Amino acid sequence: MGKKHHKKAIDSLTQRIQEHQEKIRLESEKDLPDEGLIKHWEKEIRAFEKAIQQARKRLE
Amino acid sequence: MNMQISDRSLAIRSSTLSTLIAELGTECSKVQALINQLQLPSLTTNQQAEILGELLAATVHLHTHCDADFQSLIAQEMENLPDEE
Repeated sequence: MGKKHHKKAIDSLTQRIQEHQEKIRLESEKDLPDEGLIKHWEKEIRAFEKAIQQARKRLE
Repeated sequence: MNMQISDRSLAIRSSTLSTLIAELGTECSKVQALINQLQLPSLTTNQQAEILGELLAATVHLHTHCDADFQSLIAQEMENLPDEE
């Protein structure tokens, strides 16, 4: 009971991934993209993906 | 809900760190807003799950955001400050 609520977390995490992908896209389009920022955001996306995997396991 | 921090520039030389600190401020504002929401009376179960889901995503973000690399950037910025007379 209550396990289905993990879907809310998955939705929020998925939205965060999309936001960060957009940040990377906008930064990459610049003449001199900030590689440090892009690496940082990529790392955050990996953390969100890991959290989604954990939430999916809890859904089972 | 998407709270933004002030557009005023930060007293930070590194533009990378400046952006990351601005993001940190935005995320902290989000967390505070979520906590305020959790204090509202008569939240439905669905609303609680919604808020907790957002809070979980925010904590994942803060955890990675404030990692050793971020701490090193701040330390580097401090080292680059000129010595005061």
